Amino acid sequence: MKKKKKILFIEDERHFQDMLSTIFKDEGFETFSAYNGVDGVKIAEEESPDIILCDLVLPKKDGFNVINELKNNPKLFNIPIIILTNLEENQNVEKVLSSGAKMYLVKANYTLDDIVAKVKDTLEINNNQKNEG
Amino acid sequence: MFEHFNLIKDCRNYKVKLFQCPQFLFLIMGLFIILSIVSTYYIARNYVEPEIVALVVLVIAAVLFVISYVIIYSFEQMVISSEIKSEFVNIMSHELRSPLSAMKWQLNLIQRLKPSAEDIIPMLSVIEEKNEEMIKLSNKLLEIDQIEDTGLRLKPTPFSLTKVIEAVLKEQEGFAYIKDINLVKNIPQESVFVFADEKKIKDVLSHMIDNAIRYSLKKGDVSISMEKIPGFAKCLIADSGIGISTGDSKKIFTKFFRNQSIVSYQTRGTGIGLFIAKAVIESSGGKIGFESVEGRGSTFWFTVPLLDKKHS
Repeated sequence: MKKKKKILFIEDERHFQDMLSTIFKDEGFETFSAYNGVDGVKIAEEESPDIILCDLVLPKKDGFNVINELKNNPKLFNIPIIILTNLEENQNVEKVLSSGAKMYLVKANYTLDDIVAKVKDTLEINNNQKNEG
Repeated sequence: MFEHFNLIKDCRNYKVKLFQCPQFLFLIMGLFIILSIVSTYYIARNYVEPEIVALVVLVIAAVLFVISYVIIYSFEQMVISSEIKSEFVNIMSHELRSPLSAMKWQLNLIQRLKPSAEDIIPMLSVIEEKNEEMIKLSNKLLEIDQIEDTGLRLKPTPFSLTKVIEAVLKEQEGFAYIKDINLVKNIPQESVFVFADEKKIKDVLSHMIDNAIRYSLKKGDVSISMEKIPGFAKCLIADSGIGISTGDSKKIFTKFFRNQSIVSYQTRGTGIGLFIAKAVIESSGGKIGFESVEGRGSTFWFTVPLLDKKHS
């Protein structure tokens, strides 16, 4: 049996967490939820997910710090991170992309189906890069 | 053509006082310069002493300097209000996007999963809740406009503040539970009757308790107490949260203010709740304030007039 892909959501709003979990479980993923930045990094260390969807404004540790911490961790720096937020200032987009996030998605502009498609694309690109590397 | 020279109308449109309106100040400066030239010419013809002429020129320069300063000050005020406006657009777009995207995703899930009549109910209730959130937000925006334009329209009636506190605490129980906050109540057993707008006072209380829970650190206490002081009932809401820095404390009741630590500690907040709270309490004849130590917590308090014989 093919191993399920692991996905971690770092998102403090319960409704968003529930909806993301529902759709990604339906797509055959194994899902993990963290409601703040500190738990997000902890779960990433414990579970080594294949991909992380992370909000920017988070309790305890914001999204910028989460990315920095993950990218500076030799065990976790390869995990692709997609930022999923409703903030859209240009400086935020530049900052997270230069810190190593793969994509910056504004929640309101995408349906859950779009997000699933983006996650699958990112995983495929990452996989191809690994194989080439 | 002359409608462009209607200064009073222009200044009214800018919502600034006449003496803060650049057009008016430029007109005054122009008139003053003409007057100065004429009077300097007159003085120079009649008083030949250079000291007197120099003194007159000095006075003119000083007055022009003051007028220029006022113009620059007014310009700064306009820049600040433009900055506030763009901050407002940022905050509002985020505040609107949040419920809107939740609704969009939920509808997407319903279309995709085609749930049974029973399973669809919790999904619809998310949409209902988010819809309600947007209605509340638009009501708050109208309230701000009212405060700045014509002043708040309050409907004061006698009501039991004790019961309102009980009701708000019940509503906030769920949020406190999620945030692992213990709500501590210290209010009189008997009903304390006050005379104010019940709905608006309930909103103020609700906002303050919500803030206290939101800014509290995990496993903290939020205590709500109420006591009678001469002529008033005083409510105090204390948290063990992140506190307010000295720099922020001056701006806390201003429009669109949000705590500097917002990115690290919370996701939501329009920065209009305390601005409205201040307007409600002061229009009701009470006072509002807070004490805070950064990193240790804040206590917000407000007073409402007790029901007197005239209104009972």
